[in-house]
Formats: sequence, structure tokens, C-alpha cells
Amino acid sequence: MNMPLAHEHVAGLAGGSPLYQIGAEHLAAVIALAALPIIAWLLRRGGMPTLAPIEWLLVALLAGSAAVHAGLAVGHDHGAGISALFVIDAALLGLIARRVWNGGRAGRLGTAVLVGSIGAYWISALRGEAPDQVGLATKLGEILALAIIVRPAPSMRARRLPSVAGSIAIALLVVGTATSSWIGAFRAAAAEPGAVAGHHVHGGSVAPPGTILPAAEDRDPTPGERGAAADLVAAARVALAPYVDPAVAAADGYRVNGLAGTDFHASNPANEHDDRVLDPAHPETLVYAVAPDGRPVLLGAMFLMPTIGRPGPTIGGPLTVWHAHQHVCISLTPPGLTGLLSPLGMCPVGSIDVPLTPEMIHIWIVPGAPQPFGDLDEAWKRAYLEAVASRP
Amino acid sequence: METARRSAADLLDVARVLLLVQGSILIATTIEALIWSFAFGGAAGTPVAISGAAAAAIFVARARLRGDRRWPRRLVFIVEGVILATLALDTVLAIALTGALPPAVALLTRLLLPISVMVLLRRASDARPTPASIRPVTTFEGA
Repeated sequence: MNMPLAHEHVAGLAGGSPLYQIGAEHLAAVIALAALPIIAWLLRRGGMPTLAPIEWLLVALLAGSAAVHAGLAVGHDHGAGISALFVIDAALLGLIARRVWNGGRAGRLGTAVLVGSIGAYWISALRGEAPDQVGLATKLGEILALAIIVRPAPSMRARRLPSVAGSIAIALLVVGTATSSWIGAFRAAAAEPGAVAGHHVHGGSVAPPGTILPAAEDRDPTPGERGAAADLVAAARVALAPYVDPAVAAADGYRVNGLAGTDFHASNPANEHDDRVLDPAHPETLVYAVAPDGRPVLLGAMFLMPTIGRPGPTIGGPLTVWHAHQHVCISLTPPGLTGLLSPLGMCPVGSIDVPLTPEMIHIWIVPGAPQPFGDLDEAWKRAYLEAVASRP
Repeated sequence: METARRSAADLLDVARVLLLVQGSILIATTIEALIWSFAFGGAAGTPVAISGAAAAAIFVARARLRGDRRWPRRLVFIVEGVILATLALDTVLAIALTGALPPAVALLTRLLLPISVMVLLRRASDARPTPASIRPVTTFEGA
């Protein structure tokens, strides 16, 4: 009996990394930010100050960050201590915004509060809190506010050193924010590594960046599902046996040119468009590794659904959970994979962001593999390849 | 005339700050692309070079930005044009494949930021006093 899993989660973007989403606990912050124009309109009735455009921008950025932190104090559930810090941050940012609004300077207090706020975000991310779009947008706004505050005064423009030092500091803050966000996103996903390796998400765990994992029922497979999964692996072992020789795979249309590394995916464009689903005799992609002695080793195959959003058949229940990828950067010059969408919202220039791929599943036929589906354990794979290389 | 000059300088002031953050984002993107190119054996290397060149172009143009110089503005417009064009493709793909817009930060850094920079540079160019307005008023002899 095949138990259908929650595949609507894969068809949409739920089940993906929080890095590209707005966290539910941050909705209050978004509402607070949206209310800011109303407050500005009320203040306008009391008379508007005469400010330069850059001062208006600074007021808006500081007030926006204050509103977001006030909202976080309400919506976050990280305890009273963290909520108090959000309130203090919001109050200080509001105070500095008011100071600039009244024609004053943000000064050292402004620099200290913004650097502190950005630093706190880094620490939070490095400790494994999954960053989301609200946090990232707020930090970019704070970095922009800091860039305004630390820019040299017009009378100091002729002196290049302060200007260059300020620019380097801003660049480091941007790079540091991106780096800490990547680390936070991957650490949050690694908090429950079993779920990631098995390619499904239990309650409370999150997907790593670039991957969409369906929310699976936390249950054991039924005997029928176990049998179906075992039959599938057995059929795949028989059907894939000839492809141990990459030359045979090449003759059948698999792109094995440039075979290298320990996770080489050789695709077959004809099989990708044949509308066959999970056919062990016609896998869309073969997965090879190269042993330390240079010998190619067939590890298994990857089966791909013909269209995006169409759920894969979970014939083995929780054993055969499909996954998809999101926000994959593809180069146009020349065509090729260039990474994942940055926390800063960009793919490398000249690349496009593919927001969602068809669902896929790996089947490992290599003898002794710790699990036939999902991710193959890296340590086991390395040990296996070394053992292959030591054989005559 | 003084007001126009002040206005152009104010707008360029904002543009410089935005370009600093945008250039920094491009540096971060270049570093990420470099790391991905090592992580994925078959990853394309050209985008690393293009991203690095875009970051360099933004910083050079920012350093040389002045009301009476056209080439830094044009350099910025070229980079912003490429960023906006790829965002247009991404948006079409996102709507077609997922029925949703690209993530909010992508819209901020690849739509709001480039358009703001382009509008500011355009307005600063328009606000710049023209040679005709700078020329002192002359009177005809005998008038």
C-alpha cells in the first residue's frame, strides 16, 4: 500500500530553506514596518524638517530598523532576554532616527548601535539560527545606514584614507553578513542531520539552502512499502549493471565526458524527455565517483520527474521520499551550474536563478551502501572508494 | 544656480552610498561564485569573472562620479542594465514555475537598488547647471 506523502509542499516553495522565505515569527516585524508610513504621515502634520536627501534616507532606514525590531520583540519566541534586547535596539534606533530628523547627527551612538545590531545578527546566525528574508533585508538596511553615517564629511573628501577605510569596513560588513547567513542556514539544516540525509523533514527541522524537502510523516514504512522499495532497488541493480562501464553509458546517451570527483551526475537528455517515471531500466541520470586510483565507480542513479511540480511516486512510503531543488544559479555564458542564490539576493552576474526543479530521487546500487535512497553518507563513500582503489 | 548645484551634489551623495553597498554585494557574490566553482566540479567559471568585473566597474565609477562626467554614469548604467535584465528573466521564471515573485531581498538588491541609483544619477545630471546658465549675463554695447 502506498501512503501518499505531503507532496504539495514540494510543488510549492514550503519545505524549502528559510533563507529564501519570511519566517512566521517575523510577520509582526513586517506589519510594524508596513505601519511606518502611517506614523510618518502623522508626524508630517506636525511640520516637516528641512533635510538633505541622504538625511531623509538615513531617517527612513533607522526608523525601518526600529520598527522591525519592535515587531520582533512581539513576534519572536526566544524568551524575555532576547525580547528585551529587541526593545532596547528598537528604542535606540528610534532615538537616533529622531535625532537626525531634528537636524542632529547620528554620531558615535548611531555607529555603535548599528554595528551592535549587525554583530548580534552574525552571532545569532553563527550559532545556527536560520536567517530569513526579514533579517537579511533589515541588516542590509542597517549596513546602508552605517555607510551614510561613516562617510567622510564634504570637508574631508580630499583625504582618501578615511574614505577608503570606511568603504572597506562596509564591504567587510556585507561579506560578513552573507557568510554568517550561509553558515546559519546550513547549521540550522544540520541540526537534525538524519532528516536531511533521508531527504525529508520532520517537524522542527529545516531544509538546507537550495533544497526542498517534503514534510514527511514520522513513521515506519509498512511491510508492503518495504517490499516495494526492495523490489525497486533490486530491479535497479540488474538494469544498471552494464553501466559500470562508462563507455556503455556513453553509447546509451549518458554524458560521461569529464567524469571526475565523487558525485558526478551523468545525465541522459533523451531519458529526461521520455515521460517514463521511476523506470529502473531508463534512469535520467547515472551517478559516478572516481576512486583514488582513477577508476570510475558507478554508485547509483538519479530519477527525475518529467515536469516541475509533479510529485514523484512514493512507492516505498517514507523510504522513498523525493526532493527538489530551489534557487539554483545557472550560467548563460556558457551554460552550467554556478551555485545557489546568495542571501543577498543575487546569482553571479550572467547567471539566472532557477526557482524550482522537477522532483528527483537517488537510488544507490553500490554494494553495502548504508541506505539505498536519499543522500549517500560521505564518510562511507570515501572509505568505499579507498577500498576499491586498494583492490588489484 | 547654487540650488541646482547643491541639489546635484546631494543626489550624487546618495548615489555614492548606494553604489558602495551595491559594489560590496557584488564582491560578496564574486566570492560566493568562486567558492561554488570549487564546490561543484563542473561549475562554470565565467560568472566569477563577470561578477568581479561588475564589482570593479561599480567601485571605479563611484570613485570617479561627478556631475560633469558622463562615462562613470554610463558605466553604472551598463552594470545596472545587466542586473535588471537578469532579474526580468528570473521574475518570468519565478512566476511561471512557482507562481511567486523572487525573494524580497532579491527585489531590494536587484530592482530597488539599481533603479534608485539610475534615477539619482539621471536627476543629478538634469539638476547640473548647464553651460548656458553658468555664462554671465552680457549686455549689448549701446543697449
